[in-house]
Amino acid sequence: MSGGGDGILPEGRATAGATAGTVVLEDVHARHLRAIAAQGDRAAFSALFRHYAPRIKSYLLTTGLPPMEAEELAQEVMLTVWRKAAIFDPSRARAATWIFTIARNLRIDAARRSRAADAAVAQESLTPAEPEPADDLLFAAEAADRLRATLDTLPPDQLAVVRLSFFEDAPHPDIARRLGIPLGTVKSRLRLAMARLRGVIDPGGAER
Amino acid sequence: MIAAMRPPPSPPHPTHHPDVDLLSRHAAGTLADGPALVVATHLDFCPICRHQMRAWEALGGALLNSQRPVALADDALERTLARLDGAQLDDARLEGKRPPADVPALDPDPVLPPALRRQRLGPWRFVAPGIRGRAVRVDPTQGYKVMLFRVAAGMAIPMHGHRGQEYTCVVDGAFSDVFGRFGSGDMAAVDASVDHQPLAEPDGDCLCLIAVRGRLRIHSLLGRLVQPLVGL
Repeated sequence: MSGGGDGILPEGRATAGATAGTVVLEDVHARHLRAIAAQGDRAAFSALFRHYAPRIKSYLLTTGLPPMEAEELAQEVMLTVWRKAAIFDPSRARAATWIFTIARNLRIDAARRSRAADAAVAQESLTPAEPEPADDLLFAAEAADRLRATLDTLPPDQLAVVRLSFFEDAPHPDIARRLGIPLGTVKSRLRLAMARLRGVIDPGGAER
Repeated sequence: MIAAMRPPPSPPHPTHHPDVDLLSRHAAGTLADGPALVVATHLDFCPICRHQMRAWEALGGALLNSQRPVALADDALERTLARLDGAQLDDARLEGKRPPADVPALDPDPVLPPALRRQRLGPWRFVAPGIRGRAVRVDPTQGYKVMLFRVAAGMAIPMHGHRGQEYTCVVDGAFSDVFGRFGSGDMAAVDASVDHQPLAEPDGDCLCLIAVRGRLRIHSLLGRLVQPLVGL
């Protein structure tokens, strides 16, 4: 998994068509971000916007934001992507991961602002995108590729449970109600899916 | 030597970590401010958990990519493009060095990790003999109180008999309780059923960050009396 250079699919990656496709897409997105950083490339930004803005809005709706706010915040996230494109480092995180952390942080800030009109409470997000020591870098980028490949192989019903559980932190009974499945099924699907994802994220760390 | 096979030994890595549930929720951004700040403090000390955290964020990225698209307003791209002109491009060299606007200046205490130095910290106040505390301002509507305690060597730490979940991260020094020794960066999450009696180690003050849901109940008569003073 470590051979992922610029735009070249590593050997053996092409087994799952969907995975190979998203890897290519990922490289295109990283190139767009570089083009924005280097010359303020609006065409590159537009392409990123068309792909990510509808998915960010969808994510924000999943977390419980009302449609109007999700619409506005999705645009705000893309504006931040434009502003911060220069600090995107493809060796550190994949484009999708990087954009997710921006969306997540802006969502946290927006939720905090709406909870407390009191300006004294407004703070910087607790989950900052700090420059990191080198020890963190390659691992995360590779894990992202392995995770994407794993997600591609998860059955849709398991993926739906993971999505609600991760993005929304929804209690299991809520997930059961919303997907119209028994509570026991939620738990077993989540257990199966998380066991596989944890195997990717933390190989050998099951005892933690 | 077994130790030779491990990553560079200094500074010592924490040995007590947040569990996988806490870390994944921190990466997803679904933790309340109090626990999130305790986990963020631990992350400043712990390269192992930073690894895990990046991987959970990668899950977020992968899920985002596979999210069913929801159409924006017809003119959304146009309107965003129009706003780009006014948007300053951030300079990569400055990023991370310049404090963001509307955030208080960094707290000057050098012992505090970055996650804490960015917070709004109250003044040190007397809590009980041998114990002082600083309030860490977090959004009160989420129900968490966050305090930074400095406990004199050998003193009991006033963090037991609580209701609800309690999250602790040692910032400096160490304490011990039935779960073992907790040094810099070590984190503990315990629920109300646990009545532990942490003691600051005898060779120095222990500085620790504590987030509790509801009121923090201090188990001494004097502690009870001073609670109104420290706003717990």
